[in-house]
Amino acid sequence: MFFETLKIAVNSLKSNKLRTLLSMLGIIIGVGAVIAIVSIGSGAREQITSNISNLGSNLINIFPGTSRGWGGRISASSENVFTLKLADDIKKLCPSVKKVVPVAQGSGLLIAGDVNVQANIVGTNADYQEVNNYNLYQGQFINSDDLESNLNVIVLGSQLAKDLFNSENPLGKKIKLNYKDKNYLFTVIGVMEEKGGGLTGDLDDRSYIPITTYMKKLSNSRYVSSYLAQANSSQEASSALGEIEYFLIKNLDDQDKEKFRLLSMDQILDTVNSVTASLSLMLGGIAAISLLVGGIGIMNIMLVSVTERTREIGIRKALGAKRKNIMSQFLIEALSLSGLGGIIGIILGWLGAYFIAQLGKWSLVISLSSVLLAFGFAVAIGLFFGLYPAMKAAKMDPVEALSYE
Amino acid sequence: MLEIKKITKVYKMGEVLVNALRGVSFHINKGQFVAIMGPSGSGKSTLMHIIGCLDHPTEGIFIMDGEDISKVNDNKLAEIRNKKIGFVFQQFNLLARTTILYNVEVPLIYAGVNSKKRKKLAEQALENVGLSNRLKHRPNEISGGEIQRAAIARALVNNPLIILADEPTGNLDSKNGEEIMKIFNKLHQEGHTIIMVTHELEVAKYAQRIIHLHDGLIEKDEVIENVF
Repeated sequence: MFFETLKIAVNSLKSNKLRTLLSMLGIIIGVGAVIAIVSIGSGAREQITSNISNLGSNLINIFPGTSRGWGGRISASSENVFTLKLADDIKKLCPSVKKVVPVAQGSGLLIAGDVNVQANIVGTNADYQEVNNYNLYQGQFINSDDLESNLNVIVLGSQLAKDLFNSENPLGKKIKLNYKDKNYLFTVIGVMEEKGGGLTGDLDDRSYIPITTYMKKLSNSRYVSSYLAQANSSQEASSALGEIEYFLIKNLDDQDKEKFRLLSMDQILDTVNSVTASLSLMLGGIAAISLLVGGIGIMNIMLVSVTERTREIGIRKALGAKRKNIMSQFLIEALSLSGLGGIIGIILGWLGAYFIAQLGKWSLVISLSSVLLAFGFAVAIGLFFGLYPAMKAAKMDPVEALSYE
Repeated sequence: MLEIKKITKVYKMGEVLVNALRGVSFHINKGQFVAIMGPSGSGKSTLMHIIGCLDHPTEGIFIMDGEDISKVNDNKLAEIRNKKIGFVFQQFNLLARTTILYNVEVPLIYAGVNSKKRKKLAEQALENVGLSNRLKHRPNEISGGEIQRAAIARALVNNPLIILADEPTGNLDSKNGEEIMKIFNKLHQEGHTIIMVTHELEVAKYAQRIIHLHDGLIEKDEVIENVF
């Protein structure tokens, strides 16, 4: 009996293909949007997450505090509290911390021949490369000799090397660094591998010099911009965070934590996750509204269909159809509409997600749960909005239905 | 086999109450061919709907096949329509978008007959009315006479107790009408019980008995000489 009813429903949908398609459109768009949005959301999140874990999930950034806690960018004129000695002290007194790398940052103009490029100058030590899991493309990174002797050596990011030297080999070349209106001559000793976008700007546009050179020759300051601490392992990252915080509060006599700010990769990861999750939720909500509108479309078309087929209903009733037969005929028709719309929506959503994944260069993630959820929701909507028209059809009086013109 | 006792039917048409039937009683035996005649507004359609189990009487008793069905619920009525009554309408009332064969299968679908048996029975019924070559046609592809023959096949396919025909020749030309009446005559010879509503005396003359209705009451109930 169910199969017979299904056949009747499908035949009736087939006999009016354009209308069927149009009435499914809302469901198709809704389901497609849910699938695509969820997929794009998780694909993008996965990519960001993997970028961050590439940077090392056991890393903790230690910044000087801005005068009022969070918000706003780290200003260069923040309180001068971070010395090289403090970095050593953190490492010595915090057992979960493996390494603390001091970082001094500024902006300077790099000049090679007739090319000049504004670049980010990072003063740091030999551990920086290892802590960041950052490899060299050619040459070598800053070593302890460079640091002890305050040598004018520079390691270039891949894009910077390309901009300055084009296809030439930059190793051993002299370049000029213009920093705060003074010129310094540096020797290129290495080029970093290509790394792409980081959390704080493009890493390939940076250059690295010994931190001692930076502090003694460029900035003439005893203070550095920030520290980068590495925990012994990812598992110890949170205990390292606690130890550093405790140590700095004691050491800087800073109960209100105004002089420093800690940012772990875990925190960043959490932030990214919650942002993408709420974004997905919002877009999913919009998609759900589209599904709802699609459901109303189905109800509309079913009501028209019931009225249009009043005579058919009368004939079927005269020939012995019971209420439940008529009811299930129209209900199955509504369900077929929404179900078919759901299937088409899944296919289109899948394709959409695939193309956007290609554009965004991340892997296609289609979760079974999103497919089932969207499809289930579509069918539920078909059931809900199909119920009223089907009941209306089932309740028709056979005599009146038969005399309907 | 069919007993009607003091049947009344009151409709509400807007604000007005219409007494379509005002106490009709008669008895029809198995194998009879009865015509119900009367001018429009005489209540013959209402009576037809009640005999056809499409409608409940307001009052009175209606016994079919030994069973009082004047008070049964809609579901039971649907079942009776399906199993015991075969309808032939003036408007033919075939489903337009499906084949002739499917149309004849419809009563069997609601009777729960499986698809293989259904097809066999429907083909058989269509063969009996001479439409074996029209199985896959749609109603708009065949003539009015053929459509009505298909409708008769549909009425017979479930082997009903009564064939109820409502102005079966009303939408046909005289030649096709005559052909349809010949089929009814043959069915009568074979022992079927036929109740036919008509306002044409020519058509009513095929029956053995004519019940004349007027203003919701039986005016005359006569047995006539069958001319054929």
